[in-house]
Amino acid sequence: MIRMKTFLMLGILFFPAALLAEGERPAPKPGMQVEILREVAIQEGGRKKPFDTFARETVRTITGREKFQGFDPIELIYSWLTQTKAWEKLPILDAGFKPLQEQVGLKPTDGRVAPADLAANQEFQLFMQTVAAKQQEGASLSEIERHAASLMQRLNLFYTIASGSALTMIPQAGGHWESLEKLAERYPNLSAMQAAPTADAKIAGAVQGSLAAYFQGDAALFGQMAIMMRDLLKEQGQIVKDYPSAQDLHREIRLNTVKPFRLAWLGYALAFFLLISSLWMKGKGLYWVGMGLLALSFGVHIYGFVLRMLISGRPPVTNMYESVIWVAFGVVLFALIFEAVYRAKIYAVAAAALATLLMVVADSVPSILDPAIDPLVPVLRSNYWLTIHVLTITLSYAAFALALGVGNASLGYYIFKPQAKERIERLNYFLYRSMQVGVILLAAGTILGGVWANASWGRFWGWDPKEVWALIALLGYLAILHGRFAGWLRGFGLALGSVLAFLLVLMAWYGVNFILGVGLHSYGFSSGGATGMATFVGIELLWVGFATLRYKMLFKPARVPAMGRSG
Amino acid sequence: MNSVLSKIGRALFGFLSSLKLAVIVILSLAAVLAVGTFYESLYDTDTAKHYVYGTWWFTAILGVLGLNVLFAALSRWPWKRHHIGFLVTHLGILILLAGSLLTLIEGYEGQMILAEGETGKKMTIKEAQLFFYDVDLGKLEQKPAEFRFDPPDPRRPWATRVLGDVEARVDDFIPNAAEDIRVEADNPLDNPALEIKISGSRTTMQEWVFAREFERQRLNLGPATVAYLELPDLAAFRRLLKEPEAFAGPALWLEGAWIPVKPNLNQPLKTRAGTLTLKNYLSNAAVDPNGLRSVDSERVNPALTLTLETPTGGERHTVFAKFPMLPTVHGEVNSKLRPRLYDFPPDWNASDNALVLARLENGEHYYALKSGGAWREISPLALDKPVGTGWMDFEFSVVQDTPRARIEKVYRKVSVPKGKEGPPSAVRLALANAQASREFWLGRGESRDVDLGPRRLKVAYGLKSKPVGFELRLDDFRMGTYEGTKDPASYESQVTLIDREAQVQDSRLIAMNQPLEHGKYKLFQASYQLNPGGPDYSVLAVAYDPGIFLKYLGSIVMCTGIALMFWFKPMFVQKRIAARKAQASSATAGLSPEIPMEKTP
Repeated sequence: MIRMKTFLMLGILFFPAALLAEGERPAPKPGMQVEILREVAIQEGGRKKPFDTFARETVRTITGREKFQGFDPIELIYSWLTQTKAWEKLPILDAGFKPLQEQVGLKPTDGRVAPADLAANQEFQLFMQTVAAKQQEGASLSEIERHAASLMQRLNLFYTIASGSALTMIPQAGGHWESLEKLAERYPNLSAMQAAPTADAKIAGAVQGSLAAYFQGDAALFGQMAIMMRDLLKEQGQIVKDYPSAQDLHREIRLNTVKPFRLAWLGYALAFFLLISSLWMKGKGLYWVGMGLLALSFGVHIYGFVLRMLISGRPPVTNMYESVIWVAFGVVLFALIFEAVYRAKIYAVAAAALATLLMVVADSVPSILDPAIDPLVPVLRSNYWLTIHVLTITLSYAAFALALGVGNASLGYYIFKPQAKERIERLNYFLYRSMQVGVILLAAGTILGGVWANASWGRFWGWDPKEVWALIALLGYLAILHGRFAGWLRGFGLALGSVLAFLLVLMAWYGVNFILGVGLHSYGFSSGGATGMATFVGIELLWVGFATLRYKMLFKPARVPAMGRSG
Repeated sequence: MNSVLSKIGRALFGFLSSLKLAVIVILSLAAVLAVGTFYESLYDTDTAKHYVYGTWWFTAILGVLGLNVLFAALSRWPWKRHHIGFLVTHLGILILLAGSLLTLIEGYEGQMILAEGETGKKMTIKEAQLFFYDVDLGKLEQKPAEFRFDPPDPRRPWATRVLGDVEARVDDFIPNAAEDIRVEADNPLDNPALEIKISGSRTTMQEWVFAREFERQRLNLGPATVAYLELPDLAAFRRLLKEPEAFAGPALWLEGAWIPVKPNLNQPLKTRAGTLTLKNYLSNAAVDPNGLRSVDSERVNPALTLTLETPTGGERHTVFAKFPMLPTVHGEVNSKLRPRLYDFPPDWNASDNALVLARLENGEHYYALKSGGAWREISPLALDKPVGTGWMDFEFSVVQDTPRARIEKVYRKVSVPKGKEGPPSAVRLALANAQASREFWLGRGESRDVDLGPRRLKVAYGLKSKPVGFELRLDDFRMGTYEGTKDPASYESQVTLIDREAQVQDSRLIAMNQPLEHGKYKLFQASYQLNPGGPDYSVLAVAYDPGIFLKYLGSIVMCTGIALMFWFKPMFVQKRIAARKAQASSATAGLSPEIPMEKTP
């Protein structure tokens, strides 16, 4: 009975967008319990996910950030649905790429443009026509065109959200869920709902009720309607036997809200400061606190992984974002093992620094390293091979990353504290050990890749750039190990090599997918991040160059004093 | 002398087994590979293979690597226990290289493209070939003709001698050739064609339509569709426009009556002459040892078999739409029946703006125009006389009437975006012997009859193919999608494997990460083409890799060796050190196994 009453009370259009006064700036409304709707399932991107995940991903795609102007992502979606007219005049679409702004004459506020302005921008629409034509024929796009295409995508996404057509939340038998827009077409008003009081009609009523309550700012009614909507959708999903379990939904919401990877890097960063301080401290107290924090953060890191694996049902190495987090995991894992064996300190310091760096990168550029759990291309749908090939390969990256970290530390000692000979010698030994672990993992991983390729593409080795660069990286490290064996590369050379050879790993890991952009590993292709990567490589090269010069100044004259001076 | 030789030998051995060479080879291999990947990024995998990975010098680098690995292992003779890891690793590399060499020399890979329902026996290999066939002698010669990386040109043609005295020469090559046609009027057979011009204030278009080249019978030209049909008489044309549904497909014209083919197949029909039964309709008929069959569902050579039972006996006819002049009865039977098969394009009436040109049995031409969905009066057609169409301001006219048209294919170079499969290549081929010479373009996948004086030849340009020794029938191709999307989640081909020799007939599934192994081949799901309304196509990769066992073995041995070397050697060495406490510094330079200990501050 309460349902009927609310229907009658509301009695307004499905999407009451037009009712908002012009120029009014929508703001979060007090007391709205939008978290009720978090666990409503939505079918999108090839899977069913909580509305919470959907809202976060959508808001992030459109605005470039997950929390926009203080709105909970779900509330923002509600606000877009009910106050479209106001929102479309506000700068919300992420358009931060300067060359594109200049190309089509965008005048963004705070790096964002208003949907209505963009839709009315003739130059942009014209530019998009050529981009669309290029996309149609499969030609590769320039950077500016790629940004234009994603901006267009944002624009379309905003309007498909505002119209409800992207909100495929109504479970239907047969696999294809229905969108709110379609539902609204079937039940445009109260009489249509009353004429056929089916389950769908009830859902339509609850959805409409929640929208209207949100629009009117009636928090109590919104709460009621949201609960009704949540329960009806779940009931409907159970009737058609196509609804995720509450456990699955809650698990994913937990991953979204707890953000274990963010917690982990905060912990790693703090552990790094504690551990590096402990290098200058007598006593072991600080070291153990640092190690404890490192281990704790590692636990949180693993917790995040386990959640992600349970949600996606596959090992967490299927895209660049996951591989970055996995490599950070590997770095800490190896460091903890080595620490347990050698009590070297430097492993923990290097690992904490690297893990922080990697996890911060993974956490802060969602447009490049997309954290969304998306469906896999058919060839990757083999948990067995994913586990044994990709995990092995990426663990080798982790071992080499650790060697890089220790190598940098070693270079630092060489030029700032050259008298600490024993410490340097120890560092170089640790460095060597990390490289060994990396070499065997990379060799095995590359070969396992060949075995997988033989099972999926029909050949063991096909000169695919990803395979070839893995081999090049392997050859690079082999050259270093042989050089060391021959005695050509002693301490300093080894440290230098560990840094330079890691650039080959970066090429195999990032470069093939983001720079070369060809080959059969195309599922990992993306773009962007070149500036960040170039900065990292540039800093490393400058540092290596500086270290080499300084090393020569410090050590060379000592060896050939007479010749050098008199000549 | 001897001592000089042994000196040289020792020096060579020293060099080949040296670490210096090892590092040089490793670094140069890495550099070459890096260059190769940039080639691949700029062009494609085949180009990278042709200029880098597949060259003799690349194999030579690997060869030097193999020698270095071998001699390095030999140089440690007599081997000690602590050499185990090193030796096993190097043995693994040698086995791996041997396996790769075997694959390189003996192995090959190709494709098998099957439509649903189709049975394949051969794989195609991505190497173009020219096929020369002497029709009278029944002699076939094949020549490799892969011009992708070394295209011939008039100054530097590719030439060879085939079938005894025929000079074959290719002096031009188009890597991605779009097909155009040129119409010649020298066909010995009837093959009516009209060149139509449609012009308006904004644009003018000109195109050929053919009455008996069924793929070119109907075309889209500007705002309308144009069809060129043959019909027995004017009354038939009128009826066609009145009942378009009855004439959307093949129809038999028999003694002044129309019989639409498809609804009447295998149903006895009473006619004045007797009981008529339409037996079998073939859209693309070809003669095959077992009789007539349809190659595919394309309308290329439509044919109909029919029987007529009369009180005096029976007659069996085969009617070809493309060749109405052929007698329809085989053998000595003298039939009074004159059946004629017309094959109408199913969609000639589909659009609202249309032009139908009709050629009657007596050679006269008429036309009918449709604009906005309504047919206008049938009128006689005159050459070069523009007629208003009613489609905006367009007029149409017939520019040429060529009753014996021959289609000469010509090719035009097109550029293809990187990573896309463009149209296949074409070559300009000249054939000559003492009597005559011919020059023409030939597209890949095409064949052509060539008469050189008295000699009748057939030439074809296509990919190399190889029988696989068994048969594979594609029963079903399925693509699974992710829920609520069109994104593919899986591809799979349900096939029947038939090996008559081994008496195997099995239903099998080929899917991603799930190949089919039979005989020496492995078949993989490589690609597909969905074809709504028709059979889907599945592209299977077929590979023969004789080196795979060695490659796997070498890999395992090598990885074991690395593990032994990294973790067990220090153990051995440490034991030795323990035994010889006095000499703390190990002889193996650089491999310092003991952990340098830090002094406690």
